[in-house]
Amino acid sequence: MKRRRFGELEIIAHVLRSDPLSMFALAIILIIIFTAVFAPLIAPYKSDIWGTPRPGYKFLPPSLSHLFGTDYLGRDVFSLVLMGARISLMAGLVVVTLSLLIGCPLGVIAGYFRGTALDETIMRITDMFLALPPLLLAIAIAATLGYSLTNAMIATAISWWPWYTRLMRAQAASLRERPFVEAARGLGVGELPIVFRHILPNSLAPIIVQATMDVGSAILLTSALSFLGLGAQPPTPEWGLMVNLGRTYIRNYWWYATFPGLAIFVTVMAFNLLGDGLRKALDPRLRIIRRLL
Amino acid sequence: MEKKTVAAIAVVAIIVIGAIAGYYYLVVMAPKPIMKLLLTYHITDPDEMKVAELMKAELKELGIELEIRGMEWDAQWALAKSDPTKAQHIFVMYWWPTILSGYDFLVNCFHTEEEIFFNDAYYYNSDFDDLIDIGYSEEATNSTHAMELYKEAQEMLIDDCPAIFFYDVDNTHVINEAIIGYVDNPAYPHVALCYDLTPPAGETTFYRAEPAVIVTDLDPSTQFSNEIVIICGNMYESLTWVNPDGEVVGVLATNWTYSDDGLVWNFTLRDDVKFHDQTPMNSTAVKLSIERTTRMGMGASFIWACVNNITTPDPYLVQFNLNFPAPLDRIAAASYASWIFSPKVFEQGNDTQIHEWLYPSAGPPGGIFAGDSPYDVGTGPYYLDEYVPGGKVVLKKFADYWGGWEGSHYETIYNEYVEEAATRKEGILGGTYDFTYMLAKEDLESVDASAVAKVVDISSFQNLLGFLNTKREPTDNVLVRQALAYAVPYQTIIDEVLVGYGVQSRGPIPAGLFGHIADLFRYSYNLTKARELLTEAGYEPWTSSMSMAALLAYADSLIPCFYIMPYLVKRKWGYSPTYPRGLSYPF
Amino acid sequence: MGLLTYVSKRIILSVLVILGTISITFFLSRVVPSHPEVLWVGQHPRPEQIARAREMLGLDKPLYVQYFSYLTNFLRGDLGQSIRFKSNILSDILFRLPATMELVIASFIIALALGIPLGVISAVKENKLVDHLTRTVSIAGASIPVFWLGIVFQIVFFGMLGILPLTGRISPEIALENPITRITGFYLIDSLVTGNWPAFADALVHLILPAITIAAYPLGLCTRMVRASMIEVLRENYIRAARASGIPERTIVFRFALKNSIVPALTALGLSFAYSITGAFLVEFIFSWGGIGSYLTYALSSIDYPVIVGVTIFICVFYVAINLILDIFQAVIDPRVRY
Repeated sequence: MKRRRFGELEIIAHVLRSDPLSMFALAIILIIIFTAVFAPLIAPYKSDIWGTPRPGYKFLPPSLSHLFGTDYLGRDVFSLVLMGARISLMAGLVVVTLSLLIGCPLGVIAGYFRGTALDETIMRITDMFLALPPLLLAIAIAATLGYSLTNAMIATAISWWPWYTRLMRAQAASLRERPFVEAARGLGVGELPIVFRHILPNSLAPIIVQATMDVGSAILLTSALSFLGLGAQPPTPEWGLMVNLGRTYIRNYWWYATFPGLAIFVTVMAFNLLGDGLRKALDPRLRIIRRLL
Repeated sequence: MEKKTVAAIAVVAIIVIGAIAGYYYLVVMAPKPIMKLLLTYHITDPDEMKVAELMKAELKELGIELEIRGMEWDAQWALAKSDPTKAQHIFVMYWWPTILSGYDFLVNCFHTEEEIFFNDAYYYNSDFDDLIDIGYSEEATNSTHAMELYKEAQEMLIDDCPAIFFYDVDNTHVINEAIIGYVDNPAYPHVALCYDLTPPAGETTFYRAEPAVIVTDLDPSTQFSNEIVIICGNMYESLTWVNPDGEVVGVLATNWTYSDDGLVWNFTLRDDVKFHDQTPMNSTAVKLSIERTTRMGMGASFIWACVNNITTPDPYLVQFNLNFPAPLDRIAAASYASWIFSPKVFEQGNDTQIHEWLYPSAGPPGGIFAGDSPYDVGTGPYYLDEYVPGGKVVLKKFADYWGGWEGSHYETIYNEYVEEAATRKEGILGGTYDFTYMLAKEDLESVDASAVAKVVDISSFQNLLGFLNTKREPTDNVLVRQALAYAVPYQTIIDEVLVGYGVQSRGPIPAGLFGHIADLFRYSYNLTKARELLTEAGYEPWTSSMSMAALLAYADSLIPCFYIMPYLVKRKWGYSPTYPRGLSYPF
Repeated sequence: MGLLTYVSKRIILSVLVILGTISITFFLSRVVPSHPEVLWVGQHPRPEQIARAREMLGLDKPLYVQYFSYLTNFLRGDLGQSIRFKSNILSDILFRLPATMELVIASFIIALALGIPLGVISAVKENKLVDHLTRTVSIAGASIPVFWLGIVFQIVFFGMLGILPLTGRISPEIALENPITRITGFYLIDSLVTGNWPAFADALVHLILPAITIAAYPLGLCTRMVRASMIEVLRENYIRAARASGIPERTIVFRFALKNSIVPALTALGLSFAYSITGAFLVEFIFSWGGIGSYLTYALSSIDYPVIVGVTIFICVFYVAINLILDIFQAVIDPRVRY
């Protein structure tokens, strides 16, 4: 009989399973991913997703045939919201991935070579970007690049990466002192291989937690940019854009602004709950439990 | 490897290969768009956005892929003025006249220009230019012939189709029910002549909620923007005025005559008019005002281009000697650059110094214009009392106004910049505001039905055009342009976008202006005709079943990661679908 | 290192950061092909006017000259001129700053007043239902899109119930009949000081919805921070000792534990200040508040670059200053931080 080793993943899975909120959040996220992938197939009004107007059906209130009502050109809001899941999820993933790709290598290098000029430069640049509230920098960049969803994603990623650099730096700096790193150095392994084969993989855990929650925050930020008119343009069914377009009509046709915003709320909340659960699961105290096992 | 892992990999591989295969199948089977066009519209205008979306859907039926892009005005214009072979294919824009004649539309939008200004279709037709130039010179003296020339010119425009004429939009101003005497005049957009209004009992302040920042310039010679609502007829006056029925009446002038050749005009002035700084008005003031406006060459000063010189044979008689015959009485009633102001301003120095005194470029000292301001030197019934940039503008009654203050009049006009349409609507329904406009068209019916406010709906001189780039493929082909004109769902636009508050245009000149032809041929929504024209032009437009196939091919976007597929396909087969097939999202 | 060295190092750093941000935003705004001179002259301009405007705005000079003059102007306190309003940007910002400050301070007060008690309760009743509920509510506060919340509040409290106003800081009637004399720019303070009761009540009513909307995020954050640090503190030995000696639970919680857990929570609240600014922008946009956020969003829709750059830099300086103060405060209290 093989002795089972409790890997990190198993611990995480175990802890998560016992936390009902996190399981709930995970379920919601899976539903959202499913919606994002299959939106064009499951939407009740398939042509509406692509922006085809439907004259004569303008601003119908929510009903059985139109769950979330219709918009200013008669399109079914429920179908639009489903499609928006794809756009928002893509935006969130792209932003986080870009930020990770930029921020992590920089952070690992800064942390490993801590105290040197390289570290100082990287940290000063990071500070410069951190000096601005995220939305503001994103606004400035998006205003420059032009108003589109791609540019909004780029702008958000540019204002986001410093956080990962900071996090990675702290991780890398603490890992640097660990025995296994010293051993590797003693064996004559070069600096860069140490950084990327030993330090980077082992510092991923808190990054993953942060990244999970950040998908939610990235969705919030890109939809905020679209809300201001700097991101996706009509007729893209992006949630933030729909909330903005619906603003003029909140007195008489409240559904057009309400439901997309609700979708944002539910999505971001699910990611945050999951991230919170993951954080508890990766709590260092649990490592003690693992060693005891 | 464990069996579980092998099974998992196998399942994933099957899904991925199946998806790829399905995608390629659909890519090959789906019909390709026959051409790709770019349409730009003004990003802050929801009506233009809806028109663009409707166009996109209709052109998709023909197999034309239309990318719609909302841009800021200066960006849109800069793109149009750049290299015509790279400019947008369709430039959607509103136009309204300064010179109150159809000529304004014809000359600004379609006259040949060395450096493109508003002729964003790049329409160079010297025959057309001659027709309208001669027509303008005969408007005053031989209007029948002028009309014939304008008709021929417009028929040229319909045949060559350098622009789509979407609609003439109505003015939809909302005013409190209890106010009597409001007359909506399309010649002066959004102006309410407060002096002519009778307030309800006990009210002395007229509240206006403005959808845009009003003041960008307070110099009557150069201002050319929204400040018309406070300047026109309220702070400043001109020699003449155009009634809503098109008749020219005198304001500061009582009477005018012109010579047979139309080159000499004589205006007799009122003798009881005082400027806000108590200087009396006379012919010298008129001469100096107009000369300064022409000299500075800004704003709408071009309206005086026909004037050679001005003489003042008598303190209350002004004589204009023109370079070419022009309807000067109508010109003097223009909504900009026609204002007569006090000659006392010339004590402030040269033109630039006066401009700086009237509207300091560093902004008002202390942030606010206030008190018995010198910043307004007009003759109108109200003077500028207070102005907070980007905020409110307050006008107060000028006690020595030549019209007198007998009867019931408003004493204060309070303009406030209220950005949100919803807030303006609530304000007017709640009785806070007395006047506003640019509410969401869908709300107008309920506002009109309420007991508090009413909607004054009349046709205006404003129309929406879509310039078609005649210098860029494929819109350089007249057949393609005509096909596009047949593809516009005109009635749907009127019903869905304007909610009935507008009509389809008949050519470039709206009804009510000289040159409008009531039975001019106009395009109608006819996709069959559009297909015929496209076939004639050498394209193969989609049939309706083909557009259905394209719709089904949307499954190719099943897995978002296959966004990369189109680029691979492009490299392999030289074909470039944009995502998704048949339509492009600015993703 | 000594306190003085630390402080001076931080100040130099802050200056460098501000300089870097100015450069970034300046070059961003000049690199893009736009035509601010067209915006300057307004609609239907003639070519000569445009050429004149270009000259006047200094757009025909080479880029580095523009950059240099921009920097020197900044040091003199001149952030440039708004293209739309033609007014001095810095004075516009200072004119509107009290509006934003009033909103942000009000929301912070709400966040603290609700967040601290909630955090305490949550910590005391750890892992019970109350705790789970509070945890959910605080995460909701961090997840809810601030712009959507504002709109929902408008729909419910204005559209359906009709008890709170839609937008603005005061109603137009009050603005005309009982205008608030401007002393500090804070409507609540000014109306109180001048005894203008109708205006005070009106301003307060208008403040409610926007302030609650912004408060959602800091409320969530505050609750979680207080809860986390309270839990840490409650596990300490001296708390156990206090319990063992028979001191009532309530005294332990409110006199010992709370005092020691507040400080880290409060300094962490400085983080939420950034998000409050973000939230303030969006909320000002929705409620037409007339503060800096409204100013910026108006500039965005008209692409008034000097304003966008000016506001960005102002906020950056402001934010760096606040962070600097907080860091110094923290360094004074906790010497470990200086490394």
